[in-house]
Amino acid sequence: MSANMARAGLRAPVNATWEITWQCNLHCAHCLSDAGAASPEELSTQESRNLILQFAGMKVFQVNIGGGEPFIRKDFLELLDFLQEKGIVACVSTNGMLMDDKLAQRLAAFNHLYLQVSLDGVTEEVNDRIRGQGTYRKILSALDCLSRQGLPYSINMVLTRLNYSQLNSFQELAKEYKAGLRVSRFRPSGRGKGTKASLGPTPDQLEAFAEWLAEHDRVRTGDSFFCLTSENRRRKGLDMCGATKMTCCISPNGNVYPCAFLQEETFLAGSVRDQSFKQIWDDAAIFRKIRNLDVSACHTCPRFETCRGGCPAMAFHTYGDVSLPDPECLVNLKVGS
Amino acid sequence: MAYHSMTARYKLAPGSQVREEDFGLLFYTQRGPGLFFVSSGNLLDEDFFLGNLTLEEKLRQLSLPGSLADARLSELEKTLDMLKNKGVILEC
Repeated sequence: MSANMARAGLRAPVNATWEITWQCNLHCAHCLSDAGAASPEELSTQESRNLILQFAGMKVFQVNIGGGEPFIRKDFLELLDFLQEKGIVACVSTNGMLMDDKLAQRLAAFNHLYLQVSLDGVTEEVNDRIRGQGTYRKILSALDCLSRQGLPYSINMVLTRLNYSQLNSFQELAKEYKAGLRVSRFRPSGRGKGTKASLGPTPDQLEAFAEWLAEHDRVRTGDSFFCLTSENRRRKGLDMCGATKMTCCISPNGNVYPCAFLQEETFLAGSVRDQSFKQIWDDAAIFRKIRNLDVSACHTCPRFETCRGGCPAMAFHTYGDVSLPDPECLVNLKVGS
Repeated sequence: MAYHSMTARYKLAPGSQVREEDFGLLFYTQRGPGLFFVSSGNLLDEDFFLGNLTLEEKLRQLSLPGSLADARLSELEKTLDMLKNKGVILEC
């Protein structure tokens, strides 16, 4: 019932993904945004505050902030304060490089804040191959700071062929730190386009992961694996792509896209510099198109009601067409193997 | 099960938010986080969860035809009880 209600599109996003900067102090092999250098095009503090006011006016419940590394922005804490003042929940994805006890203490004062700290291996060797030399130790140090302050946070791993075998160890590590574990899907956008062949999980690994996920109820996925999820787990989350129906993505310069993995010219819905966020959400032609997307090739699939064609971004980055089936859904994985 | 939602007043629990949608109300709770879709049409609005009116008073205010009010009443009572049990709203 709820999926039917959401399918037509809501009056506002439930959560908006906001990539707040392109600047990053790391150069991860799979970065979806190809982040690195700052850009003068990024929204100013005032423009960002204005966007937050628009979120509040539309009653956007949650803003998922990523980048780049959000804490690099000098005004980031000010913007978090403003989100808090407006009663909007912030979920911040960080690489942990700038985390120390002072910052963790400051963040602990927020009521509406979740943190996700990225870690891509439970061993130095695996993590540092993806996130860069020396990062493993710094990330663990960040986790120590957050745990000392009792902050609610998750360890976020992107599933790759290198860390697939460490899933259980990830869970143990998260337990040790009293953190949640979130597993995200590798998508071939940004730098992931060039590294999918070497880092993306194999079909066998994805199939086995689907079974692992079914047995690990408490592990979160941000619904990014809905095309792999079991019937039991499905009840806990989405059975469709939420892009343009429940969520969308704002890039650092204010451009709005259906999701973080479709930040391509073809999918540009508008800019908050030219239009209100509400106008874009309600009227953008590309949003209407994605809301009405019908992956007809999947109609006869027994799992159609479970995933409705899967992730359009995966289809786009694989075949150049969002209306084709997700190549990594459970059925297509089996066909491929 | 006996419902007493008709005479109770409700407010949002800490960490909960609500907004109006075409189908009715959409609740969000930080716990989880979770979403609850309530197909209440235009019978309930966000302000109902300020705790100023009981369900009975709210429905009376809408001056619904008796048959419609009866038909939706039981459904709304169950929904409010469910939201209360899930910790999304509190009785006040």
